[in-house]
Amino acid sequence: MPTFDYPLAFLLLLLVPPGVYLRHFSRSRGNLLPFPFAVWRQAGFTPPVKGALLALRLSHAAFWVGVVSLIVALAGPGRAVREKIYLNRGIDMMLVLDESPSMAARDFQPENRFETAREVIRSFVRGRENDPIGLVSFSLEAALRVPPTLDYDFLLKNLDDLRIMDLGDGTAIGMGISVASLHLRRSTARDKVIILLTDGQNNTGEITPETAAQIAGQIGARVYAVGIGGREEAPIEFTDPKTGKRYRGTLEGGFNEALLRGVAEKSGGSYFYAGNPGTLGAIFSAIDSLETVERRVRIQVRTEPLHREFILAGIALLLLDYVIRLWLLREVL
Amino acid sequence: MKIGAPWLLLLLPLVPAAALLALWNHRRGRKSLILLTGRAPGDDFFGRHLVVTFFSTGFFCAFLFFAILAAADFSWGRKTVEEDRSGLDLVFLLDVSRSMLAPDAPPNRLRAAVDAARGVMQGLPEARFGIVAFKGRGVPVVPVTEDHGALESFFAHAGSGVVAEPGTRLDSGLEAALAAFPSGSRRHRAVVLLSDGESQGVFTDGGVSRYAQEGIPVFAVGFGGKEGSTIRLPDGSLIMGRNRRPVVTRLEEKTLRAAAEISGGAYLSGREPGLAGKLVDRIQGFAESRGLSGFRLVPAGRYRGFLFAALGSLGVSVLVRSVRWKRKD
Repeated sequence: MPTFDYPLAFLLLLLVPPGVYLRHFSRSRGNLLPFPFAVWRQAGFTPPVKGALLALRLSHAAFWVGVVSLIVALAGPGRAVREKIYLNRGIDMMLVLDESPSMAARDFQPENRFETAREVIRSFVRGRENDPIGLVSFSLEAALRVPPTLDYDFLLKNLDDLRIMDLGDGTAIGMGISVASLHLRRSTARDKVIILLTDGQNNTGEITPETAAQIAGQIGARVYAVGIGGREEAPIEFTDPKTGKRYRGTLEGGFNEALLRGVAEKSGGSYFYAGNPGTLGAIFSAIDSLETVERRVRIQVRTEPLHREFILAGIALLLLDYVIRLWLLREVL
Repeated sequence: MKIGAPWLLLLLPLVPAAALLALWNHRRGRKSLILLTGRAPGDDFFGRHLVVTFFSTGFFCAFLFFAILAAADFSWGRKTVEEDRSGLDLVFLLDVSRSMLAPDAPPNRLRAAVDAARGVMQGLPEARFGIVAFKGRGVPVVPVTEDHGALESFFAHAGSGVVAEPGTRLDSGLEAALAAFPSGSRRHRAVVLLSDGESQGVFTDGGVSRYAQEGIPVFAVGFGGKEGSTIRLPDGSLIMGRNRRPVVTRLEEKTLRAAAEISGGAYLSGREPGLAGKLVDRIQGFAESRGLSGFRLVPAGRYRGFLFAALGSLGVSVLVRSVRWKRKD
């Protein structure tokens, strides 16, 4: 939305019509040299060069548009940018994503469990506002990918960079929850949430999922545990990022439902089972609606000045007029 | 006095060019006038014509001069702008170019910079921090977060390899640091620039003036010495130049001082004793003064005065030509 700091400057536009008259139409203007081109009582004079006439009109137009541009610049034009400022704190969230090889199972269309989970997370993140969100991934080991932040672009870029088996072959659920808890412990948010997505059994790591859930509970974080994957055999295909070797096979067995339920309940969270992509999306919608806080917002209006653009346009147009008149049309008077 | 767009002053040669064009046209036009009017060359008419051309051109040149000054955005003095913020978001803009491996700030400039950043974090436990590393490009490596542990993880492994692009582009780093602040936050914002000041990028006041506009001060800390130092790589070898002699790097204070001054921040030498404490004091001072007063001071732009003079000159230039100087010719 355009704004003007000094709209009174527009009063100068009132000088434009008299200026146009004085400069181009007044018969007593100084730069007018009466010269008879036509013979008395004969046909009037028509300029023989249409290009010159066109250049003259262009020059006049450039001059007055340039003047108007400078007057607009004098009025202090600006573009008002509205910014939403949050007055209260959101919920701190950590997404803990399993990137073990079993996540490559193709029972989640169109590609596999991992890609579906990633897509659902993307859509979940885009739907949040003012909630710092972080990302931890785990397989044989667990690693913090993004600390809780409001910079969702940074988060989504790092989410896109995740690769199956980047952290080895294994499922260290306890380590994933622990790393998430570790990075939430300094959080000053009233509500803290860990969303765990896994399709496997905890089979490695120095911290058991139960202990990790206790740690999460101690720092006041609720764990939403989401078990994903079908209950039947599924084809699996993935590439080891370290060796580049491609693996194909059939995946048997699922996740430990009782363990995930226990982890969730111990920390005051909930357990969900996602047997297909649609359910996974619905679960994230449910978590989204469960984890809401009242948002107090103030709209701050910031003005980006635009006067420089108008001044430069004015200079360019007036120089164009000057050059056409003096150089091209060879104005004498 | 500050200039928002100093590169526009390069347009000033247009002023004498316009005057020369007018002079050339006057000489050419005088011959045409003699033919058209049939008057003798010594006639008063030509004298008046010369005076009109002189003043009209003079005022047009004055218009051009003032308009260019207006576009260049001169500012002096300060004006107050209302600001309701509390808390602090701070981005460390860390130079990870190879010149930061010079050992003239023991153990090397980069480690000294990291230690300073750690000290600031300890001194401001309530603040949120982020890190942008720059070399040939500015790259956000840790987003603004309350999780100081994430920053510590980065600091533990910070090295020249964090950014792939070679070179040192401070301008790109400053741009990335500005973009690293989360939108919608009501916290005060500040940047701590940790560098030796060597930059191959085009450092313009205009790039930093956005910081001034948005009220984000840059606290610049210069590491290294003016006497210069060779650059020792982690494997112990020295970086050699094309002439097969060791490359010598020096602290370029001028750039860092300019960034700090234009943005309303401060410059500190990396060799100052108690550096982190002094940085913390400066940053706290800035946040507290704004937090208490509820407003901030911004440079007062003066373009309007120049533009008014430009429009006035243009008006006189038109009037000189349009008003008849004598009743009868």
